[in-house]
Amino acid sequence: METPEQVAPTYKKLKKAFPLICDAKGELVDLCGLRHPGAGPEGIDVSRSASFLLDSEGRILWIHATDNFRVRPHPSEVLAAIDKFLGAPPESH
Amino acid sequence: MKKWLAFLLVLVGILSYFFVSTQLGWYQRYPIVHFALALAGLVLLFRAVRSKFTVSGLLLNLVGWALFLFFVWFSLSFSTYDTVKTRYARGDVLPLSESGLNLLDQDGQAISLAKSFQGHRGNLLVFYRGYW
Repeated sequence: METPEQVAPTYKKLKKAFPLICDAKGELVDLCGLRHPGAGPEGIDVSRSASFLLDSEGRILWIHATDNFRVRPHPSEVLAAIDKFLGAPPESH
Repeated sequence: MKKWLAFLLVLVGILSYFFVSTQLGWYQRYPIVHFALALAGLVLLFRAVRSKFTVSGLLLNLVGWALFLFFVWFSLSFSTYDTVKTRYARGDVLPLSESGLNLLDQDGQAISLAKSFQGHRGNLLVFYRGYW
């Protein structure tokens, strides 16, 4: 729930590996039911940690959500979910 | 010397959580291995100061216990929140196009997730807490 100016350092740090979405008002966070009221600096709202694997139509294939912000899915767990629900990438000819 | 090694064990037990456990995904929720290492160091610290009392040994004990208790509080209480019940479950379709979301990309340009997802077999949407 940050502005583009606030995510700029993170985007640079991540070497622009993937797009960052700024949801300053928490609309997407609310849509998914992830708002954590008053948990951020100076009592602002932040998002709970969660990961969604979606298909091209936005259908949820896999969710990782926990009750503790230290707990994140390991990359191997995410890759396993991708393999399971999306399978191998189509061969290019 | 023993008391310093014991104190080092306490530090390693706690700090290794951040450098090892979170990186490898082991014992993230309940860092029992790190608790055990730090507790072993505290026991050794206590034995060292009991066999030969020194002020530095007492201070190391106090600091060691303070660090350990902080670690327990941080990992089991502070970082825990209510059980997450996401509004949508597996198999549901997120109503991205009809929700009228006002989202921006990292450059401040308006972005439509529904359009961004089209043409991709899979999309990983990661919510992070930000502000770090």
